[in-house]
Amino acid sequence: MRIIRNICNLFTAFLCLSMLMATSARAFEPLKGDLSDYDPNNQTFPTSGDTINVAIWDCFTGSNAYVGEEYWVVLGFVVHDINSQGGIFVDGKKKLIRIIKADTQGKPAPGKAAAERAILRDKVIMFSGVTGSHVSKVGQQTAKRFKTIFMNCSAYADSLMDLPNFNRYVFRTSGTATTSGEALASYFINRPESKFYICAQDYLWGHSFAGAFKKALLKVRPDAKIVGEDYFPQLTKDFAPYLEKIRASRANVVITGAWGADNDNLIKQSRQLGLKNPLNPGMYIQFASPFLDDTRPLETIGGPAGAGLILCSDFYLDRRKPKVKRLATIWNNLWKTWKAPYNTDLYRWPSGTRFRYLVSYYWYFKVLEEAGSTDPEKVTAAWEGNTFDYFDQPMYMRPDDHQTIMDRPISVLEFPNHWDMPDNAAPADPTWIPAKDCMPTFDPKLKGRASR
Amino acid sequence: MSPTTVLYISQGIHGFAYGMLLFLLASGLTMIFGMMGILNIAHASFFMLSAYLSYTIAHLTNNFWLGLLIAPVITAICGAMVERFLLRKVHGRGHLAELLVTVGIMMVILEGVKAGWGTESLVVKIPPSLSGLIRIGGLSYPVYRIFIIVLALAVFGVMGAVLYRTRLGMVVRAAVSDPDMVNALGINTSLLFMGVFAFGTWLAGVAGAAAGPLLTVFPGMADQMGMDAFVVVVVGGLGSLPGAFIVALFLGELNAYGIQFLPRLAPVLMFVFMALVLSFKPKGLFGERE
Repeated sequence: MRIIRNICNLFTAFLCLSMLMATSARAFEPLKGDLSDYDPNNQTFPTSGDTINVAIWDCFTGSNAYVGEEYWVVLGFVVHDINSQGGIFVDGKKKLIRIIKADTQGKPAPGKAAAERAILRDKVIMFSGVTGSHVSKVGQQTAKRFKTIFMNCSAYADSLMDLPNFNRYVFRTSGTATTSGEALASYFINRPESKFYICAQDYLWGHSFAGAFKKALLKVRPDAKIVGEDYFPQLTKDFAPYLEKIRASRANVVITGAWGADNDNLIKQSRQLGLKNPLNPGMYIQFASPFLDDTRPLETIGGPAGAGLILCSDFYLDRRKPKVKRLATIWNNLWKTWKAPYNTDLYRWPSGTRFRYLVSYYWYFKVLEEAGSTDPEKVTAAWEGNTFDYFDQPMYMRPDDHQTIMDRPISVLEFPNHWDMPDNAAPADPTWIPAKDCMPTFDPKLKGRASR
Repeated sequence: MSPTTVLYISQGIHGFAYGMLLFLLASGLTMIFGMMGILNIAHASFFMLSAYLSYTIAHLTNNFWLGLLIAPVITAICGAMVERFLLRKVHGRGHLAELLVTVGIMMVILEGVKAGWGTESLVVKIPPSLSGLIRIGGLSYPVYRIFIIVLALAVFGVMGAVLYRTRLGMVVRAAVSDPDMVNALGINTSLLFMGVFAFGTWLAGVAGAAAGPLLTVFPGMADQMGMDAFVVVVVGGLGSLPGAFIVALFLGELNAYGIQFLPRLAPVLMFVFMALVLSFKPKGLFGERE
C-alpha cells in the first residue's frame, strides 16, 4: 500500500513539474525572437491553420494614412518576434498570429463597417486603433455588440471611458487629455515660464487637452497666466494670424495638441515668422505638445529651431533604461535595411508614437497568454488589474474602467541630440511625472464594477 | 510703431499674402470653371500634384527654382491629356458627367501621389535667397511670403494683359462665348480649349510649387485649398479674373482680421460672405453669367 502511495506521489510530482516546465516553455518574451529578417514591406503570415487574428483598425487611406502604416510596422515587428518564438499558447495549443488591416478612413461610418468586417469575415479576436475619439466611440460600440476586445491606443477623449461609453471589452492603453494636460502642468511647477498661450485644434481632443492643462495649471501654478486661447479648424492653411496674436501676447510657451499637417504647419510657420521666446530672445518660442516626437515638423524647421520644444507624450523612449536602449538599437539597425516607404525618419526611433503601440501590443499578447484562451471574457478578466513592466515602465490596468495608470515622461528637445539624428532636434532624457499627478479621470459610478 | 499698430499691420499683410496664394490657385480655376464652364473638381489635385513634383525636382537637383519652373509644366501636360482624352468626351453631357469624371481624376491623383511619394508629409525648403525676414520699423516679415505676393501680382498682370489686351485673349474669350462661331472662322477651338485647360492647370501647378515651402506637402493638401478656390471663383463671378483677384484678396483679409477679432467665427466668415453675395448677386460680384 505504501509503495503504491509513494508511486502516486512521485507521479503527481512529475506531472506538476512537467506542467510547470510546459508553462515556462510556452511563454514568449519580448525581443527574444529572431527579428533579423523583419521587413515591413515583406510581412508574411500563416494563411492556413488555427491562427490568432488581430486587426489594425485605423486610417490606411486619406491624409492620415501614415498612422495605419505606423501601426503596420509596429504590430508587424511584435508579431514577427512572437511568431518566431512559436506563437502564443492559447486554447490548449500554440497559435501563430496574423494581422488584418481594417481601414477606418478616419470616419465613424466606414470605421464601423471595417470593424464589423474584421470581426465577422476575418474572425479577429482583437482590433486596435484608433485616430479620433469619435471613431473610437463607434469601435467601442462594435466591441460590445460582438463581444470582441478593442484596444484603444490612440483616442484621448476622457469621456470615452465614463459610464455611458464604457464597456468591458474596451481597454485604453494610451493616455488621455487629462493625463497629458496634468503631466505637462506638473512639469512647469518649478520652471520660470509663467505665460502660456493655448492654440489647439477645434475639436473634442483640442478642447479637452487645453481644458485639462488649464485646470491643472491653476492648481499647481496659481501665479501662472493663460495669456491667450485660440482654437483653429483642422487642416488650417495659414497660421500666421494666430501666430501674430501669440507674438503680441508675449507668451513664454504655446500649448498645442495639434497633430498631422496642423502640427507641421504651426511650428514651421512660427519659425518662418521668426517668433522668439520672450524669456530667451536667442531662441525660438517653445511649443508644448504630445506630438513633437513626429519628426516631420522637426525636419522642416531644422535642428537649431527645434531645440526647446517640449514633448509630453504618454510613452517616450528613455534610453537610460537598458531594455529600451536595446529595443531602439534592434529597431534602428533593422530600419537601415528597409525600403520605401518605411525608410524615412518617421519610422526610426525616437520618432512617432510607435513605442506606445509597441508596448500596448506586447502587453495585450502577454495578457492573452496569461488568460490561456481567446475567449474575450477570460481575456478581460486577465487584463483587469494586470501589470506590465517589461520595458522598465510599469503599467497597470485599472480594473474598474480599463484605463492605464503609469508615470508619464516630459522631454525637452535638444540639438545636437543623443540620438542618431544629426539634422533634427530630438528629445533629451525625460523628466518623469509620477502617476499620482497625472491620473486618467475616473467616473465614480464605475467604482467597484470589476469586483461585482 | 506701437505693438498694437504692428499687430494690425502684420495681420493686414498676412491677409494679403494668403489672399494672393488663394488667387494663384483660383486664377486657373477661373479659366477652367469660370470661363470654359468645365466643373473641374480635380483642380486642387493638380495643385497638389505639382507640389509633389516640385518637391522631387528640388530634391533631385537641390534647386527650388527648377522645381518651380518644371513642375507646373508637367502638371499642365497632365491637364492637357485629361482634357483631350477624358473631359472633351463628356463636356457636352453637362456638369454631372464632368463632376463624375473629375472626381475620378481626383481619386486617381490622390492614390497615385500616395503610391509614388507615400502618405507622410514632405519638406520643401525655402531657397536661401528667399529665406529670412525683412524688417521695417517694428515690423518683420518673411521674404518668402513677399515672394508669393509678387508672384501672384505678376500672374494677375500677365493674365490680365494676355486675356484683355492681346489677340489671343480675344480669341479665347470669343471661343468661350460662342465656340461654333469661332470654329466657323477657321480657328481650331478644340485645340484652343485644350490649351486653355492646360494653362489653367499650369496656374494650379505654379500655386502648388510655390505653396510647398509655406504649407505642408501631404496627401490632404488638395482638400485644404480646394474649397476656398471654388468660393473665390463663384463669389468673384464665373470667368471674371478681376473678380477672382478682388475676392481672393478680400477673403485673405477676412481670414486674418477674423482670427484677430472673431476667432471662433473666423472659419465660417468666408462662407457667410459667399451666402450673402450669392443671395443678392447670384452671378457673383463681377460675373456675367450664372
